[in-house]
Amino acid sequence: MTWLNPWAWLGLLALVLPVFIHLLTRTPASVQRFPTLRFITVSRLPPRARRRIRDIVLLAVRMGILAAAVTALAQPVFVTQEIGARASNVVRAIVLDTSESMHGPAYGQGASSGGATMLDSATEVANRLLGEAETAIVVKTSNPGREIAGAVKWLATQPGVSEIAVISDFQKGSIDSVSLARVPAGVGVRLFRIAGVELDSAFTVDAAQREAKVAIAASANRTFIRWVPIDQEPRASSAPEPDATSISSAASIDSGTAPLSVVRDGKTLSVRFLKAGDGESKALMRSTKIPSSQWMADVLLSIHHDGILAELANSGAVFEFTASSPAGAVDATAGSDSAPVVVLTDVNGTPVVTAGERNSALIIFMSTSQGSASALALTRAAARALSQFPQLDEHETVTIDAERVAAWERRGVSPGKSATDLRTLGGLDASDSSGRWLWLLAISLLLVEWFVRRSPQPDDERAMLAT
Amino acid sequence: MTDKSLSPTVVAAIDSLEIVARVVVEGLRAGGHRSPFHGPGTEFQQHRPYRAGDDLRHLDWKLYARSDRLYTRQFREVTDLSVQIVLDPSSSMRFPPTGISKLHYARIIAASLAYLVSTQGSAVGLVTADANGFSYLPVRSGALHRNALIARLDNLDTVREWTPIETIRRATELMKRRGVIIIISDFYDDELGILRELRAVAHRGHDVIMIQTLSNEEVSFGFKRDIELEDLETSERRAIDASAIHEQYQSAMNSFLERCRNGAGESGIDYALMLTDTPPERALHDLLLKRAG
Repeated sequence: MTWLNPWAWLGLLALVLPVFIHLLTRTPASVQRFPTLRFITVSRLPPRARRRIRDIVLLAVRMGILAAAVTALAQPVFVTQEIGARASNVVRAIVLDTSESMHGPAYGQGASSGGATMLDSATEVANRLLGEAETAIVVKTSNPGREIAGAVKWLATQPGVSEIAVISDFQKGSIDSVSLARVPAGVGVRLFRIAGVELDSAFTVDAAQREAKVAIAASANRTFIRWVPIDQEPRASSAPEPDATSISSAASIDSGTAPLSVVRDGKTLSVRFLKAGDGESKALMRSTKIPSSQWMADVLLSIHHDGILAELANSGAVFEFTASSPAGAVDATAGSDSAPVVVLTDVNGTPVVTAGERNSALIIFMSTSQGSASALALTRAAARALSQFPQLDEHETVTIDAERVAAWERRGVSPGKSATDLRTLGGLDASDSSGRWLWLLAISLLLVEWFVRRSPQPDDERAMLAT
Repeated sequence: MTDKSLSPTVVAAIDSLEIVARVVVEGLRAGGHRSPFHGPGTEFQQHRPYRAGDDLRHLDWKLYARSDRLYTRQFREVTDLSVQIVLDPSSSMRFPPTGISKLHYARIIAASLAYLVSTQGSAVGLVTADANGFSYLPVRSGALHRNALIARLDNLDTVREWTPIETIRRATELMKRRGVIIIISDFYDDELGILRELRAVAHRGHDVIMIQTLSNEEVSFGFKRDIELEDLETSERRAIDASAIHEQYQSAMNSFLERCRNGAGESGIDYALMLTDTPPERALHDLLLKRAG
């Protein structure tokens, strides 16, 4: 026998509840007239250490109800020969999403607390799937949809029930119907969504003419931004179009000391760039806080997704690090609460662009030299972000609907069997569990409990006195 | 006789206390036991082995000559025996609430004894209490008086105020000459004081019989669960876990019964414990047999 949901056994702790209830609940004492109390020295009800037989039966039934429910939740599977053969013959290609968004904190983990990331959770799931299958491979990729075809090719070479398992947070663009259409009909598709940070602490912004919920979380070397649209209707934009999108204007801003700023709805949005070597960069960095305005989130996200900047960051060569000079390098670890968020890292994971908020202005720190290609690209990206907010639909941080993910799932079939023959499906799932019989048992015990509770007391004192 | 005993339930079902008394006494007679109230009569009743302290005048020397054993001759009192019955009508006698209460049982015993004594030509009286306080029927003989006494018993109900020591003292004072004083009670009210008073009565030359009437429920304390007990006399309430204090109660009750029994024995008082679930004639039979022996 095996259990699909072994964590449910923790529910057995609830078995102490009926015991406590039985110990604490007393039937009201009946009043009996008695000739004299001179032989009774006890003046109050002493704690009762044991219960009568009838109560023990009731207690046992109640504990049985809880035990049956907990066992049902644990979803026991009696591994028959058929199920065992089916489960052991599964050949699984596990596609593990390692994109940047998967480095965010997992559900229930604080971003700055150093807790498990979504990738850690995904790896755990992958390991479990790996152990359950007869033969399996794990494909780690930042683009799961692109690796589906390769996984299908590998599965075609393996005997047994084939299955593709994709473990991802399923942000838009990570996988789609087109990539899944390459999976043959007999190959099962199982999709495991990894939940990220909660959005409860996020702030609401007007972005791309839509209202959206944005959560920004920063850790020592990464920044996580999650966007979830609130309404679906686009709104008319009243943002002005500043003439700051060209490389030349970006260069002029980059060479000067004045900040890049734009007035929108009567409010000045100001971005200041600090390069490596600026004397005040380190002090400023310590005094900044995590950006909290909607337009700052837009700018950071735009920089984060800027194609040129990303290429420069990944190449690693154009950023002029001055590791020997602490004042020149971006010190992402300066300060704990006021640490600036990391916008871009290089191939080694070293922060190269960070940002913070100070006096309602967005301060962007980068370990580049003034006039370098990366500095210009950064200025251009920031200017473009200020002039034109990004479209929400373009963000990969918007996840695919759960209904759609569920619709893509299907079960694998043994070669030569019909796809509708459910008894030959690969892997173990809820339909294999005996949980429904246990729920039936729990309901039956509820009826027994009702009968026991309503049954008359056999040793009623009044009956005894009447004889 | 034991098999023919009427159960307390049957006895209680008879409306007339006089008939009950007659039935009980007839049952006693059918067993061949005559009056246990020995007195200075002239009619020889029986022999019994000599015991130290017996009057040497009653030694049967002829029987000694024949059998080489000492026997004392006993005579049946024919007349002039005075019997005073003191009955406790306190509230505690109302227990148990269902079936035969201790008071009902005590009334049956008292009526049966009165009937027995009266039909033997002796005088009998009743001292008890009612709503007006002290209740007294003088010691007299005759069927009319007997019927009046039984009628008084019939109408007897429990009272709030009961002073056993005072009542016994007055009952003794009201007896013009030495006789038998029978006190029927549960003795829950100061049993040591009552015993002291009864000892004084016995010292005055009276023959004292102490009948303790209790129900099986209070002796064995058959409760098992959490209950709240209300004192029938004081109305005080106490919540208890019956099974937890059962042992302690049993011990206290046994000590109480032992005190009563030993106190009576030390004072030369005949003592009988009568449980309400024992057939009255069997209980009386045992008492009379003990006294006759």
